[in-house]
Amino acid sequence: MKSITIGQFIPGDSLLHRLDARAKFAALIFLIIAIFAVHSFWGYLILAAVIFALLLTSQIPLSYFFRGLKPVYYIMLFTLVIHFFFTKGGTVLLRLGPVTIETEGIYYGFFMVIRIVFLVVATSLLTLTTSPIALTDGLEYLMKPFSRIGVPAHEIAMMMTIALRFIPTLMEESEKIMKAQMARGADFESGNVYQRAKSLVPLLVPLFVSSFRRADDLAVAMEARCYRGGEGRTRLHEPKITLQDYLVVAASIALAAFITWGQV
Amino acid sequence: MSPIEIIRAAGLSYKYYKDDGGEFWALRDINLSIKAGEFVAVLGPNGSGKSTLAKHFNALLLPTCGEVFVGGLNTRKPEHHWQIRQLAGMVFQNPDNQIVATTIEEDVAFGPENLGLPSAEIRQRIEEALALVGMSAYRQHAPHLLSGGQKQRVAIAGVIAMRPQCLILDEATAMLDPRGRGEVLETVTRLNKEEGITVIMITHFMEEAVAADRIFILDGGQIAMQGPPQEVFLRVAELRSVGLDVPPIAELAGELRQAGIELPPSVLTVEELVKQLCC
Repeated sequence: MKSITIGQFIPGDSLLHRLDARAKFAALIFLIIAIFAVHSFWGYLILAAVIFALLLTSQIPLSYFFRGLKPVYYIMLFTLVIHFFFTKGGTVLLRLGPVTIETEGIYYGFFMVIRIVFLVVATSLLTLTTSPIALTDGLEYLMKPFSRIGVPAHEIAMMMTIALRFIPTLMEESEKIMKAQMARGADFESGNVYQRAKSLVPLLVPLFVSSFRRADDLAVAMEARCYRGGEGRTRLHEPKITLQDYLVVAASIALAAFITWGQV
Repeated sequence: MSPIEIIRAAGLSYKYYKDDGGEFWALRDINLSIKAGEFVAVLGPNGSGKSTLAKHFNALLLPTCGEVFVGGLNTRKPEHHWQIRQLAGMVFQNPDNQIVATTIEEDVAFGPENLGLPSAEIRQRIEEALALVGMSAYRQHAPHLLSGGQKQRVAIAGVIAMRPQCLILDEATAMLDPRGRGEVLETVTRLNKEEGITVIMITHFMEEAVAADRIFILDGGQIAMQGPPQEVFLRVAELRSVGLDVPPIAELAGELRQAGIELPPSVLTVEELVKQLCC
C-alpha cells in the first residue's frame, strides 16, 4: 500500500520529460488530429515512424505502452469483428449463408484498430512522461483564456491537485475500514457480483462520511493559510516555455497539416 | 519578554446553534492578552471551548459579543482577515487533512503562493522553513509516506513560510504517538526560544503545558485559572474539579512537600526533581 503510484508517470530525464506540459499537450492534440486525418496505410507508416521515434526518445520501456493498451484489447477486437461482418464492399472473401466477409471490411477493420493503437500510445506518451502535477498545472494555464467565459480554470486544477493528493490517503483509509469490517465478520470476497457489490456498502458509507469530514477540515486549513481562489496567487514553479517547446509544437502542426492536406 | 501585545480578547463570547435548534455558549466573557514572544498553553477538558477560542485568534470564527484583536487588527473587519491569518498561522489536529499538495515542497509553498509572492522568494522561504523544522531532506517526498510527527512538522513549516508572528497549535499533537508528540513539541519550543515566535498551544496533555510561560485553564467556556505552570499546577484540587489531571511530577512534588521535603514550586519535570532531590 505504501508504494502507490499516482497516474502512470515514470520519472526520467529525456527530451520528452523536460518539455513543458502545455507544449506536450498542444503537440498531442495536433498528433491526434493527424491520426484522425490519415487516409491510407502510407500515412500510417509516416505516423508509425514518428511515434516510434518518440517512444525511443522517451526512454521508457516499451512494455509500459503495451500495458496501456491492455484495457482497450476488447474494444479493438470488437471494432475488428464489427468491420469484418458489417462493412461491405470489394470482393467477397467468405460466405456463410447470409453472412459475408468482404475485402473492404478487412481493410477498415485493421485501419480502425491501428488508429486506436496510435491514439492510446500517443496519449500514453504524455501521461508517462509528465507528472500529474505538471499536467494539472499545464491544464490550468491552457484553460486560463476560457476563464473569461466562465470556465473555472483555477478551481478545476485545484480540485485535480487535491484529488491526486488524497488518493493514497483514501486508499489507506479504505484498507483500514475493510480490515475493521472483516474483523467484525464482514465478507468482501465470496458470493456473486451482486452480493459482492452489496458487501461494499459497509465500506463505502464510512469512507464517504470521513471524506466529507476531511473536505471540511481541509477547507478550513486552506482558508487559515490565506487561500482565496486563484486571484492574485503566484506559483512556486512558474513554467518556462523554451525554444524546444515551440519547435515541438511547430513540428506537430506541420505533421498534422501535411497529413490533412497532403491526402496521405 | 517584549511588552508588545499580539493578541487581545475583550469580553469575547461565542454562541452557536445546536442541531436541535438550542443555543450553546461555547465561550463566555473571555478577557486575555498575549504578548509577543510568549509561549502560552490553553488547557481544558473536552467541550471546554479551547478549540473555539483558538479559531478566534485567526478570524476563522468571529465573536458573537466582544472583540478580538490580532496584532492590533480587529477580527470583525473582513478586510483585515488575510493579514490576520498571515500574522497568526494555525496548525490543526489531523495531520492528513491540512496538507494540500502532493509534495512537501509544494505544500510549504501553498501559503506563500496565496500571499502572491514571487517564485524566487517562495523558494527561499521553503528552504528556511523546512530547515527550521528539520525536514529539509524530505523536500520532494509525498506527504502520505511521512509519519504523523513529520507531517505536523511540515504543517508547521507551511505556516512558518508565511512569516507569522504567532503560531497557534490546535491540539496538533492529539493524534500523534509519543515520539511524534516529542518531535512537534521540541520544534515548537525551539521556534519560540530561537525565532521569538509567539506560540499558543491548545492541548489536553498536561505534560505539554509544562514548558509554557503561562497557562490558561478553560472550563465551560470560561477561564477557570491562569498563571505560570509552576503556580497553576500547585492547585491540584481545583485542577481535579475541572476534570484535568495534574502532571505526574507536579503531583509527586506536591506529595513530597506534604511529607515534609522542601521543594521549590518550579519542579515540573523529572530532570528538575532529580536535581532538587539529589544535588
